Amino acid sequence: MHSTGYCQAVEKAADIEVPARARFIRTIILELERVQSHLLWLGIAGHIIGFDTVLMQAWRIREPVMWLCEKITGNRKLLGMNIVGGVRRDIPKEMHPELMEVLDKVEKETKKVLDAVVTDTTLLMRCENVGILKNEDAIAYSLLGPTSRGSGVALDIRVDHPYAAYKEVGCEVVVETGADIWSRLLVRLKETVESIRIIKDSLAMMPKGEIVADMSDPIPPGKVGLSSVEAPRGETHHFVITGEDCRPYRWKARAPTFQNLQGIPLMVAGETIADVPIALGSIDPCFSCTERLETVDVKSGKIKIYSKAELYKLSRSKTFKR
Amino acid sequence: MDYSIGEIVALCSFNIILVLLLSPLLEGIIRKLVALVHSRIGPPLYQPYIDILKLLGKEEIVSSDNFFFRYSGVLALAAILSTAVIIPIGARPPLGNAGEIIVFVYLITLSAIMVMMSGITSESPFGIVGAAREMMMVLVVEPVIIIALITAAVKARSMTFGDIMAYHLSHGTSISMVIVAIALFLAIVAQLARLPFDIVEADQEIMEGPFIEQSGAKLALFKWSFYAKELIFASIFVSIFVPWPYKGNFIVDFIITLVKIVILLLIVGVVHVVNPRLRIDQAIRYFGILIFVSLIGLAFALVGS
Repeated sequence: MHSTGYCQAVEKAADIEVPARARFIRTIILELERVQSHLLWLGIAGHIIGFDTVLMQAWRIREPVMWLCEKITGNRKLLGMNIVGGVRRDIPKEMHPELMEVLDKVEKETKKVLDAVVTDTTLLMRCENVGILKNEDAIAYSLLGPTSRGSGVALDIRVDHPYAAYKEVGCEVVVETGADIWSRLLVRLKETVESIRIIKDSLAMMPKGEIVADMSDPIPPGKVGLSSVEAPRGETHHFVITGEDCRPYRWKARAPTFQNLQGIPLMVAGETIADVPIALGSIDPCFSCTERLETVDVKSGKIKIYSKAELYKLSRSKTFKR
Repeated sequence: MDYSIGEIVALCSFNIILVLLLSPLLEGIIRKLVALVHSRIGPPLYQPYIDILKLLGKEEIVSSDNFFFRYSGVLALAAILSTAVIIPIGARPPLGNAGEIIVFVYLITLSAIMVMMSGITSESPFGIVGAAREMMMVLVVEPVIIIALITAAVKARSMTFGDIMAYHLSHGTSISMVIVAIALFLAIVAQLARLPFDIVEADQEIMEGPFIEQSGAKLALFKWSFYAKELIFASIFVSIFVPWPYKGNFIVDFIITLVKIVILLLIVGVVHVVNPRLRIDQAIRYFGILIFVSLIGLAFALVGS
């Protein structure tokens, strides 16, 4: 996700045309990441409400996707596929039947899980009308990705500002209007099925040709590039100013979780403790993207921000000394 | 068929030792079943024994000097083990001539109160939330158990487990017994802290609630008391509501009872594995209906069917 965002920003700054085949391979990689991320989320969400069967089955289905990633890129995670100007490895024609076979299996099992999940009444009881995020709130707080699409906001970078090969393969935006955790769950599951469709189409439509652009000219300094990528959790933006010797002068990435966390107080206001973990889980939070701990003294309104060293010290001290 | 003093002592010790030694194995069987449904290999059957042994040898970290925080685990296990001598496991219970049903309910409540005390005295907000949840669950789950046992007692015109068992063995089942058996089964699922009623511990919400600060041997005793509870409740259910077949031979009956207990706990395991956790308000509403249903069962018993 982020490597695509960064490479696209640099390519935009330096005005590099990426070969069509590389764009298709990027699409496949992006969608594979989305499939594994959404299945991972489904498992975690199940675990949060105590439904460990969903956790185990979702991760079992996810495993062939990880295998696919390893087959194509050599890594299960942190695929290291992108370079500025294209991708590092090709997906040769001989690999296609094997990939298709695995994709078919994953698609079949995902649909089976989708059917099982949507007919589970106890699951519905826990997720329906819980963690409500109204449509106007989602727009007012600029929430992103499946979190806002569950509230009826049809925002998707893949369609609004197509990158990679999304213009060619197309992408259907999944929108649910229930505005609760159940809608976010449905959005993610349906997106998974749609992602598998995109991967299959990309594999079929992939044109022949180079996978890296001609990079013989140095990247000019002082150029500005901004690119947006639809990550599984929402849109991700990368901003780059190029510097001397083909190095970045400044680079800023914005991940979606910090934005989405702003919606949590709205979702949990007035709910019970039991609903807080699943409401928090429903935005698929990535806390490493937002690490910062703040305490507010309710009486005086004083705010203290903890530093990394202080957090370490706190976590290592004992709560009670005899 | 009254027992002599020697037989009583022997049977009491047998029951207590049996509950202590056998209950972790039953937990192991449930874990294996859960693992199979999860598409996992799962832990070996003897894993709960290892868990208990490991915890017994661990250092204890305490968050409070309160008496109940230190001894609630011991008292919980003691309360559960005391019930072992008044309930039938394969044979007529070793002790009991008068109202053991009432004693049983008190002892079970005592173990629940110990869970609450552990939570309240642990000086952790999660512990206190857990204790409050346990209190609410006890208030709605125990009436179901009490009504079910009273229904069986009304039918048998006796408050002793031995007489009740003998009566239902000879008279067969009836509408009232079937109704309360279903209610009691769901109450047992809740009593054993199995999903969908795993609300008190809820490790993803309140991190084991009342047991958050428990560690070492204290935690081991709590865990052991839960395993023992599984055996006790399953044993009561199968010997009062499904007492057949009864051969009269102690060893044969004992084995048949064990098989029935394992089957019942496997059904509990299946319920556990196909359900997410309910919220406390949903569970209370659920048991509110169950109390009503079991009252209907009791009414049937009072008019004689």
